[in-house]
Amino acid sequence: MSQNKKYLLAFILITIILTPLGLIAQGPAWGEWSAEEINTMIGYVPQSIENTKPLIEALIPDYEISGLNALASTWISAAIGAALVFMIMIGIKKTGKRVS
Amino acid sequence: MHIPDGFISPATYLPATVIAIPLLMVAFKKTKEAINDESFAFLSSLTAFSFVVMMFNIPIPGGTSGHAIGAAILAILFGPWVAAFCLSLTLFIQALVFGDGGLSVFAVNSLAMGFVASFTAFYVHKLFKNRVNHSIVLFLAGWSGIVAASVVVAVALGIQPLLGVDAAGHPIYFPFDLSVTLPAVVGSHLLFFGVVEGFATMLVLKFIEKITNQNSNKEVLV
Repeated sequence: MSQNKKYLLAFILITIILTPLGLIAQGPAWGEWSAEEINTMIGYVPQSIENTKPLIEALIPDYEISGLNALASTWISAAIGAALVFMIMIGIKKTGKRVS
Repeated sequence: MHIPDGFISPATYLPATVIAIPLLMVAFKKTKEAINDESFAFLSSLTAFSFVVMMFNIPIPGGTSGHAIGAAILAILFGPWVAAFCLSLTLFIQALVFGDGGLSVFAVNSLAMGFVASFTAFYVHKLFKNRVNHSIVLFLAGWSGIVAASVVVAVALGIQPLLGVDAAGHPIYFPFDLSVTLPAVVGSHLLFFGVVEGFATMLVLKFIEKITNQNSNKEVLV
């Protein structure tokens, strides 16, 4: 492995290890509220927000793995996300080569 | 800034999808051309960084939180099209696997945090480099990119009360208008998350510059 790759790998691993720091924030992002939170704010839930279901049910909704604590869920979610990025990029690199 | 399913009307996300599809096709093609043995490690680890950095939620006054997106780093290193593709890939994984941002409104999130953030950051960097201190340019690129994305999100959310009202007179989609969304979404990015994105851009690009300079001499010699 080249020196650059080692540094980059260390960089991304350290970032993943630090992700639980993001759990310190209690509140959601502005606007990304649940139906219940909206109900508390304005006294009703807009129809579309109440009734629209996701096209595909997420495997790990809100980065929370059922049965695991927040810390482990966050680490595993970050690792899965990063791994998926690498796998897809490897796929794109291969198709790119085949075309050219 | 990840808009969830149901929050905005088809009148918003369908045109956005029509615009985003050809742009994503161009961005995919440019990314394919940009990936080679040398760039691969940088491109994939910085895209992974953009995924991970969005998990660093930072609390701000008012009980909400937000995060950096890492778009400017990719835009400055690989150009705006590649950055827009990488950010869109991140957003797609977040929507599909983690339910963060709706799949039906993916195009709106991709246009905002992918395209608008990357193109703004790229051109701000291009405009100011060699004219202003290097660190400040990197900061400005990050800051302006995420702020520009926040304007798109604020407008997409804020026009919803105009696009559908039920029999009781209640909005069908996102209930707050532009007078609320612009200060809340754009204001918080101007003051807080833009600053975080600015510093992230500066620090990560300085790190990249350092490791490439350190090793370029050796690699040339070998």
